[in-house]
Amino acid sequence: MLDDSSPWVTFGALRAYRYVRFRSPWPPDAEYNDSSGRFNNGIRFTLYVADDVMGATAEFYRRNPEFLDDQSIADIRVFALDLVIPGRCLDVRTQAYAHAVGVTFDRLRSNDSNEAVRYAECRALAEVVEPLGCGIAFPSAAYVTPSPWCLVLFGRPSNATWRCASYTEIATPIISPSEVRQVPA
Amino acid sequence: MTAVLDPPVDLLEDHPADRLPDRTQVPKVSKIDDKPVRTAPTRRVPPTGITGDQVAKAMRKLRHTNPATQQRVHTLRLVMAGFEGLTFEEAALVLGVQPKRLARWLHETDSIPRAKDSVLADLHEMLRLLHQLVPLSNTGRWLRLHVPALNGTPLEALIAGRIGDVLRVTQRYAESSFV
Repeated sequence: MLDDSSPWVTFGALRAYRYVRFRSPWPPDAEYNDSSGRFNNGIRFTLYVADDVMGATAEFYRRNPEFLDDQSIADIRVFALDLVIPGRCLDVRTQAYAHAVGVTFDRLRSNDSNEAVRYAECRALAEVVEPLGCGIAFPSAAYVTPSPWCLVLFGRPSNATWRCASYTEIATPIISPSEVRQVPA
Repeated sequence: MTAVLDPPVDLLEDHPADRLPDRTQVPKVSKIDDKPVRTAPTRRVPPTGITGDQVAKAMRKLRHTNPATQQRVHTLRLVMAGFEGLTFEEAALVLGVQPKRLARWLHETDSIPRAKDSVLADLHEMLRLLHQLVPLSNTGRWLRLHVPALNGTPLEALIAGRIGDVLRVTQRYAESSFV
């Protein structure tokens, strides 16, 4: 059960990153109700960001490993989003914090071949957090550097919860295949 | 020696044009019910010199005025334009048709069967989604790329008729939430 003693974090201003397709019909700060995301249920609007450029890029290649060996075939754009997040987010970026909310840390970056199993705990956690906070900061499942993390923001942007003040396109990095943890086929 | 015709023919007196109806005459209208007077239907005789093949070709052209047929040709041309980097023969394999027949479809000298509607629609959607991520100029490279979810290349899957599987891969490209 979550309460005020749970590991909540208020980011305030945060610069974070995400990728979009080069001809995406949506702006990079658009929230959406994708059913395939780690914390999604097909109804919930979400916006996923990573704490660094490489982490955001790794997320693309985790989903689409066929592009890893020749990164010139797909064309993705990476954006830096200047977020304003006055609302609180559950922080499960460390083993201790995950333990404090009763979730096994490894399940937050699970890699089962069955999608329903892979995301079961994360989606259950999102159901509990959404009425109490505006997002979850969680460990990256895609990038294998020591402690990369990501943030999922829930719902529509607002001045009380979260909003994107501005965004800037930055150069898309080349990432080493060994740095990406791929989703099993 | 002078030829004698029996009976003698006077071309000026019995010219066939004299037997044609006078086009200046309007149809007679009944005074009772104002309905036009019925006349015997004119027998349709194909003009001499036109072959059955030409009639069939004209009928095919006529079918092409059908909006659904036009849409099929339009979609096929979009799909062919999207297959940059594929040979014509490879495109024919993907569409499950002989290259010569594909050429006839594109030149509208043969109609595209209605049974191809679903394949054309799926290929069109697949290419639309693909080209939001992969530039048109890289289409051929992508079609020959090993995709783990397909256990092979998209080209192999398309030729094997697994268009649905390839479409699902391109639908996944549209999703950008973290997993």
